[in-house]
Amino acid sequence: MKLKSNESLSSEKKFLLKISITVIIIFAMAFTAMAATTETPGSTVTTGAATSTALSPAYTQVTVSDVTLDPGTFATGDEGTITVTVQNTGSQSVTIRRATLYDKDITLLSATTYDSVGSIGAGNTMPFTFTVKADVPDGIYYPVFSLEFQDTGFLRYPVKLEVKNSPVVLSITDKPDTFVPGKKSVVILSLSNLRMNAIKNVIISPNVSDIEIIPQNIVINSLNSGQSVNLPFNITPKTPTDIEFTAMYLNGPNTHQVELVLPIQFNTDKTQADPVISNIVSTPDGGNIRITGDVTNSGLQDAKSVTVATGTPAVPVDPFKVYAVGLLKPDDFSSFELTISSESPNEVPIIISYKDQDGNVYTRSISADISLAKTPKGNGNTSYVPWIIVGIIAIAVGLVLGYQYMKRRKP
Amino acid sequence: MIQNIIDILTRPDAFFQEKIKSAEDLKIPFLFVAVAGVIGAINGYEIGSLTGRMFASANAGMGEFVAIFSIVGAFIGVVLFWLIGAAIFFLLSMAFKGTGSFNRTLEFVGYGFIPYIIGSLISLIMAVYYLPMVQVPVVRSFTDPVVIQNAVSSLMHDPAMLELTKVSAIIGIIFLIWSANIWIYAINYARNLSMKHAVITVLLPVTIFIIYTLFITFVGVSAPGGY
Repeated sequence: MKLKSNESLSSEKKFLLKISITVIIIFAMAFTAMAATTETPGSTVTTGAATSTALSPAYTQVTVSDVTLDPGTFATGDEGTITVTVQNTGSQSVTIRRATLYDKDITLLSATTYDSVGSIGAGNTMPFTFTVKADVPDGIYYPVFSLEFQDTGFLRYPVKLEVKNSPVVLSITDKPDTFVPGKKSVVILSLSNLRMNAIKNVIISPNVSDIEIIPQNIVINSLNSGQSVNLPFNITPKTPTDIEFTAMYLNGPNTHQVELVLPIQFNTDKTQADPVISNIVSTPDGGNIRITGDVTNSGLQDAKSVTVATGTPAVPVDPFKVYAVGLLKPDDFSSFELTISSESPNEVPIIISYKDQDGNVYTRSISADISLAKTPKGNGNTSYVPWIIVGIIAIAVGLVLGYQYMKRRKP
Repeated sequence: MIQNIIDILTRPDAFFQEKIKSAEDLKIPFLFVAVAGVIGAINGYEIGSLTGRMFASANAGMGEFVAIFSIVGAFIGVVLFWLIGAAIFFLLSMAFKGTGSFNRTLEFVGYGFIPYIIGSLISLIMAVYYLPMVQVPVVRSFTDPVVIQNAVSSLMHDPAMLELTKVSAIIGIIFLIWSANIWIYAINYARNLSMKHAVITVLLPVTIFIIYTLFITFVGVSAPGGY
């Protein structure tokens, strides 16, 4: 309303004018009060007590611009941080008395951090980070961020905090049918993140000392939600045992771990090389004994560096103290030949040695009876009959020659 | 013919006394030597078969090669023995101013192979008896000479083989003495020597041969590459 000074106005008109101005001011105040209680998106700004003496349009421009939770999803018992960033979108500086976060379920561990804050300049942002502990069961919680201004009014903002105990799963993806002592086997584990947020600094390590496991641990920087990763381990067991794999990871600042037990039990590898010795024949060889035979690989894998030798108490002698067969593929066979001293006992062990593709050495021993070779067959069958015949022949020839000699001597 | 053979064996003096009057003829003596050679070849085949079995694993054709080599070698060996023996007698008799041609010496020495034939037949029978008892070592490869040497040595040291060697040697010596008796008369007439010189001419090399045979049979075996 535009007022003009007019000396000609009457006193009634002046009174009406004052009334009008007063009504306008009252409406203006009422409108301002209504505007102060109107919610802005995501935040609530309210006037203080009814005793507010002045209206400050600056603080109405303070809004929550960003909320960050670490971890994104809490597990029960997890500690974490909630960072609320506010921005002064107005043209004047706003003084903030204190900031806090409160909830009846979520524990605030840093209660007094923002008891005294200060001013936030026009156009500036200010983060408020609170440490909380979600010692609550699964669910969605809304702790309230509260910003108390110096002059009057509050900014309240409910923060969504989700607590969910979705697991991180460590499982066995692949392993050999059986473990063989000294043989390197590949075991593939799988780590799956079924949580709603990424986990970080994952370390998967076996908790065993007397077994050779390569690698000793696997480190993954980050594993996103819903992501899986394969973890190959080369295991060379020596004795039956249980290997406990532990996957440690960070959910926010909280360390969690999952465990997996891999039982190592030895059994015969159904596909391994299986050299079989057969057709063993022992024969005398001069002053020694020659042992011949065949070695057949009846397994499903290659037998490498196959050698055949005699063991104690046999006394090996040249030329075949050891017989090197070499590579025997499945279903292949090779003859072998060994020479031992005839002073060896009747039962001698024949030892076959071979390697698998990892270089592990396997030995197998069978007993061979060489008694027949030590008792030459010819001795038992020979008789004195030929010598008797020779004697008779000698006598007959002697008689013939003697007869001739005597006949010649006669005149 | 039969009567001639009996005369040679039992009355060599009378036989050669009559034979010296006839012209030189090498056919009959060569026939005797050839028969001895055939029997020797059969004997050689029997022994060679063992060697062939020994090498059969190493080379498929080795057995046949050894058998043929043994047959031919044994036959030629008997013929050479005839020729060399006659030559030795001929040369030794020259020391006693012996006369007579080499062909006559060769002819008469050939008649002396009849006891050798008998001895070879008996040795063959002995071989048939002993050889199945011999355990033949197997040589699977020719790459290692030591293996071959050991195999040959093993064969020669087989008890049945040793027995056969000794029996054959004694039989050979017995019939060699019988042959020597015939050769004495043969040289006596063929080279026109005295009986004393004929005895020396024949018994000197024969005795040396017998001593050598006894030595290698009972003292040492001269196996190829053996010990």
